[in-house]
Amino acid sequence: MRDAKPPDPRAAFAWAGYLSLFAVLAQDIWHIAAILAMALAAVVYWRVSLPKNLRRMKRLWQTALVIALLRSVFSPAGAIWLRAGPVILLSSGGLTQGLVVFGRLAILLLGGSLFSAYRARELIQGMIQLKLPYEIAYMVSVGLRFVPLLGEEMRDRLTALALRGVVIKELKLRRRLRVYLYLTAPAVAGSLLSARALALSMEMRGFRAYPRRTSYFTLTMDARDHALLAVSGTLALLTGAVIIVL
Amino acid sequence: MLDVPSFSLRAGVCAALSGANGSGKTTLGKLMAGLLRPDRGRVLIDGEDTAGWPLGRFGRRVGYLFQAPERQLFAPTVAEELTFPLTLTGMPPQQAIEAASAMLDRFGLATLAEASPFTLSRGEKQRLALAALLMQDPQYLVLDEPTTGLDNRRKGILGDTVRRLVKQGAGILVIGHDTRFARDVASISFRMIEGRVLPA
Repeated sequence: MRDAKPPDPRAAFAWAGYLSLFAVLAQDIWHIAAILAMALAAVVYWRVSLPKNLRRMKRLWQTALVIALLRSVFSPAGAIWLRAGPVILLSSGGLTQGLVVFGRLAILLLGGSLFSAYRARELIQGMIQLKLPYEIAYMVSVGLRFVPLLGEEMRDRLTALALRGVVIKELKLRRRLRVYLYLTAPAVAGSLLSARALALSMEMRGFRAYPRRTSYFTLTMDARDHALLAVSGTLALLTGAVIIVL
Repeated sequence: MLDVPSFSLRAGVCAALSGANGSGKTTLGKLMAGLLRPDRGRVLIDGEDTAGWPLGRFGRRVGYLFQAPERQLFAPTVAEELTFPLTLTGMPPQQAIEAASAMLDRFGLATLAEASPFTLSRGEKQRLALAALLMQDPQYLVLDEPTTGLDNRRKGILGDTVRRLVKQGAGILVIGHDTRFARDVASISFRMIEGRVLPA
């Protein structure tokens, strides 16, 4: 049971689209910071629980941090603050680059988290009412479910390996990386097999009949949703102009 | 919820555990293999409390064969399925290959050494999963529905393997509904009813 009805999913699509597009286009750290502030505002407005989101996507946030750190180390520029022999560990330019990368990934993750305010059925209906073909709308929704499925497959493989007496945490970093690389291919293959079984099962239950069925459930936009769409459009134009001019 | 005041599996003994679907057989088996941890009570292995043990440490002592063997296969080839964990634990590759060859011979899988485990039949996958578990030489084995999908000849071979392992000192728990197989291999039988273990 949700406390308050979130905005129409189509408004979430518009905002996520706006945030993702400019997260990729923006290069300047201040532009990224401004878009990140917008993403945070959207998350607060959509009442997405930030701590819950951080917990759920812990691995992705950790990965973003590691990528940002690597970028920071491998793009030395400007004033050098820390070095180990010939290797520059921290520089002003490197830190800026690292922050840009982290900000960009954070915007993408926060933008994506807006969808966690909806049930899958609402998202599909939103896509259908945006005139997206039903098959594609459903495929996107199934695609979203594919990510946890992949995680589950990976966990199964790690459990299988542990059952053979391997304590992963006791392995040296190099061997541990070897394990993860080794298990990725079967985990992906397992996910694809599960996806194929799901597709077959859907076909056998008359999947394609669905868009022609009548339904009580349709989305209607109110004034707030129209306002959110207008704001996202205006922000997109403004941000685009700022990025091009500055 | 399980209500098991005490249940022990001794080395050199094969026990059978039967019961209706949902009675708690698999839950008990998973508790014994460290796949589940008890909310209350303790799981002891040779008198040692296993609380805080990582799953890998259980794996060295207790082998668990899943109902769906494909869930425990992950390597690109049948041979690597047996050698990969050994090399991770520090065994020289040549020694691991020799040990794997002997095990594949024992389970009639030698001709499939280079095949992908995903392409094997259910029975072959099941034999491979069991062979992979035995590579660690575990003292105890929990076999969950081990005869599902096996023809009578394969059941006979599995029965011989279980008896041989018991003779070598392994403690084995066979979970399932196949009473004939259980009678053949187990010297002691239990029934599980609504989370409680009773003598059969």
